[in-house]
Amino acid sequence: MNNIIVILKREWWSYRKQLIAHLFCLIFIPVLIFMFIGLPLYKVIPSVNSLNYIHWITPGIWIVSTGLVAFINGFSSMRKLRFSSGVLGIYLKSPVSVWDILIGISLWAFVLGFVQLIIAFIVIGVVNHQFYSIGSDLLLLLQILPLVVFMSVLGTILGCWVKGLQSQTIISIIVFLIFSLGMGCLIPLQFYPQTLSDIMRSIPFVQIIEGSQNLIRLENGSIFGAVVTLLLSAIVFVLNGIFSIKLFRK
Amino acid sequence: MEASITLKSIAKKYRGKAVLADLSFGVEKGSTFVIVGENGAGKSTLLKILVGLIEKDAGMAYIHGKDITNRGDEIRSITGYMPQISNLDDDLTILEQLIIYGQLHGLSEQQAKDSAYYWADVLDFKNLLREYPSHLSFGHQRKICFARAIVHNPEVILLDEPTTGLDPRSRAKIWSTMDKLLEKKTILFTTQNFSEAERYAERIAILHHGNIKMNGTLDKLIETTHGLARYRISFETEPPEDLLIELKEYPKVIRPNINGFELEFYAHKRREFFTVLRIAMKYQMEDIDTTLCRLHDLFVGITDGGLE
Repeated sequence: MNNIIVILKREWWSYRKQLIAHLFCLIFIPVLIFMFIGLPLYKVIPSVNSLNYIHWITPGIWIVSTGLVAFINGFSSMRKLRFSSGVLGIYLKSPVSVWDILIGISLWAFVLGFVQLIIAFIVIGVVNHQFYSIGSDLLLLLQILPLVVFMSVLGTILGCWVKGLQSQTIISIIVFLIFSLGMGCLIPLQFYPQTLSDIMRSIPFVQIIEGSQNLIRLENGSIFGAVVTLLLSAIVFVLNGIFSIKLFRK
Repeated sequence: MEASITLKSIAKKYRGKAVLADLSFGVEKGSTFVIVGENGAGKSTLLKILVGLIEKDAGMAYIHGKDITNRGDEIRSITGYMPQISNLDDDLTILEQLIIYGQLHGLSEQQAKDSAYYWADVLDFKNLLREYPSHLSFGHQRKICFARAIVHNPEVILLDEPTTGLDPRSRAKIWSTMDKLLEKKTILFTTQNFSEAERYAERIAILHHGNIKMNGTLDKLIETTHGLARYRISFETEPPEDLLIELKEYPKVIRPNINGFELEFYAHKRREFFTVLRIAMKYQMEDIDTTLCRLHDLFVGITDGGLE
């Protein structure tokens, strides 16, 4: 546990060097999605399931910005650690296990994702004049956090294997496109061909997205989606850990 | 004496090529042990295996009685390792990374900070503590890597060519630190600098093609040469090849070799030297130098052959 805290501290010390720039990004990512995707689409899609589109899109913006921040930070921290900074070598010659490293980086990405979620709650609430009760916010948090866990783990895993910055950028763009436009976060799934939307609805992440959209309508969320996503995260994390042990200590 | 590091039949292959083969030796607790060897002899691989950066293919290795295969974390907590290539963390200042490294080895933040300041003072880089590694010279980076290896006060210190690329003053600083402050530690280092190996190590091992060819105190190693001496005769002009051809007729004149204006050869007895001298008198000699075999000669003999 102590090692994981030290790894988190190392990430924080590195992150705080450009804290203002990072905060700027955390504030502007949800705002930009709202301005450049939400507002134009509002002209085309006035309402979704009798809910004003600009309100319907709110959980989608939270999820996209949060998931993306968790994914990119996990990816970037792990890739740098393994391939470009020499930090992995420093960790490996100290009494730190490969599991400590993977947990530390995933946790760091999760923390940043969580911070982004809180900032997105506030920022989108301000620009959209839409605030929820503490109870609703907590339910939304519980609904969205498993997806943040998954995106943190996914980013960390890719960072273990993808070496180049260019590859990281391309993968991040692909993830952004699929995540934001292909899973019903920003464009309702009913606009897709029926077969595709049926397939998408069976994916646990999409159930989380729909669950959070239901929650703002004061309907039930998706416990199944949240639990399966957490389980998937754990399985993928353990599998990656098993391979990474061999990979890191050749 | 109690063993601090024990290696038994260690083997490691890279892409099918043996880097270490059936390597066995021991290092006594509190002693300084050096491994000398050519580039690619397997010195760095050996240290990386001991610290757990890479895994051995076969054999057993113990540090303080703990098997490195299954007690790696315990071993790394009592070990300090300085790699051959500086791998400082570019995102953190020198002070920050010394603190992080100390904390990874179980120190509190304050203890790590105090230790960082202490070693920065001893090794003369206190003014660099707030700098980033990318702003530092190679020599400073090496010194900081050395400090990082010892910041947590390890019992076993593994140093991979610690003074390579350092100026004489920094080199002296590192050796005096090891001499005075770390005298009770077990130190295993690699080097290609024979005078440093002779001067600072209690025991010396010569690693060649992944195996220890010689291992012992300097005196013991020298003893194995049975009084072999190296002779050098300098000439005013470059001596002709005929001289070499003529000397090769004398089997007791070992490895005669002309290098520029200088003739070098080895011999066990002075008699051979006088024989060579008689032959060399035909040419204009300038200077004569005689030295008993040292580590460098043993190393050359092993790596190039001919001194057996």
